[in-house]
Amino acid sequence: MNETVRLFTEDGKRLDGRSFDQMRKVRMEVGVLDKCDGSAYIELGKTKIFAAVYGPKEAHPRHLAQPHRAILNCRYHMATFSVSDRKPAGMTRREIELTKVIKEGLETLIFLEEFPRSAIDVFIEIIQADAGTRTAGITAASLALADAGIPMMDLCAGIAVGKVQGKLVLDPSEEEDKYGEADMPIAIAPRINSIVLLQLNGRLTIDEFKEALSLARRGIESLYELQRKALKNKFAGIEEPEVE
Amino acid sequence: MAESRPSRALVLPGDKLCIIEEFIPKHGAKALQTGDVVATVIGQPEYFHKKHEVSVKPLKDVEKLRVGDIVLCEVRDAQEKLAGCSIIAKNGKRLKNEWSGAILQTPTPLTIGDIVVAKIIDEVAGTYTLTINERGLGIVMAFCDKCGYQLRQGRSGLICSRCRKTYRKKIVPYYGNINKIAEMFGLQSAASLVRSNGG
Repeated sequence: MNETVRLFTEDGKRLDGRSFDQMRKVRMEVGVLDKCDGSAYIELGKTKIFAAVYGPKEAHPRHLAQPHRAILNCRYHMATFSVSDRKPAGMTRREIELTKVIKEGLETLIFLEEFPRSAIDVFIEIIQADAGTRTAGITAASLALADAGIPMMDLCAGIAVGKVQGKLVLDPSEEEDKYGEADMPIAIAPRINSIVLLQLNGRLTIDEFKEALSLARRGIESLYELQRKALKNKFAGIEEPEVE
Repeated sequence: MAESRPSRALVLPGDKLCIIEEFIPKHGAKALQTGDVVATVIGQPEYFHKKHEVSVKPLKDVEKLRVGDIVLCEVRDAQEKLAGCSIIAKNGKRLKNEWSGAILQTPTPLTIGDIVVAKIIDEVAGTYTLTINERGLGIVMAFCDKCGYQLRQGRSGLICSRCRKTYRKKIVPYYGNINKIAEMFGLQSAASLVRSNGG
């Protein structure tokens, strides 16, 4: 089946004209929502995501509060209109799983022990999905947390690497994801050199894995620079703290 | 006071400020296992050379209550020694989120529904202890426990103008002046205080 689908052009480029190590067009913005403490918007090709952070606030229900640290509540959710067929409004098994992996990834970066008995809520809402939503989601969530003033060890950025017709490609598109042999989403905090999320669907050899990792690192470095630029765009003009 | 060298540079979480041998990390900075001191928030770094300390002055700080803050709170639960309360505003600013606390009871006890100006005297792992046993602190608005009507200040204490019941409570000099309370704590309308208590 995969043999019949052409995912590369005759000159070796991908169907959307990108080379194998090229990402889709990225756009990031910080502080896009009014009512939350921190927010971010990211566009990765046709994927469009909002992330919002509320807190730290008192943990509810109270029995969930931890006496020595804050709890991180995360919600990755795809809007009903985010995909071509209408998606049911509730949380699917996939969304529950992605919520868990994103939460565990972010927890390693946040200094939760600074806010005992508190809760930090992170909402990731997928407005339009076109592959790479979990990695773009964690990238946006990291920006929103920084925007909210939550103390973090580092920002983190994520990107996927796919294996398509035997070739490794950075940031696979929807078609490449669908017809490819493997897909490896990865999120890294570059300054502290820590992998916060790594999943692998399909099979890669050890050499392919190493190559995929270095390919992802290169993509994440450029995403990280864009994150920094987005934050600096918002905060460069502010002189005084908003809250004492 | 130690000399500080404020920098106009903007640092982001993860930016290296120095190494642990040079400066001790304070607010907005942390030492990693590698020995690097990094910024944890967005802000401007400040180096205190005499104290050998580095901190980051945040451009957007999180809402956090600290010991010494004067807060406005509503009594939710009254017991013999403590009264549970919700803290709704601090130091002239409305809080985005309500926090729970416990006020130490005075000889004239607080009752459910009292709106109180108190001071945070202790914080242990996110549990706040407050007091009204200082000058300028006390009840700013109270309600009759019999009929729920707002109490007014009389000669011998607080009095309910509907059922004539009298109360002795520690009140502030501007008791009942809801406009002043609203102004002091950055509330858009003091009517919300009255409405929530049915007065």
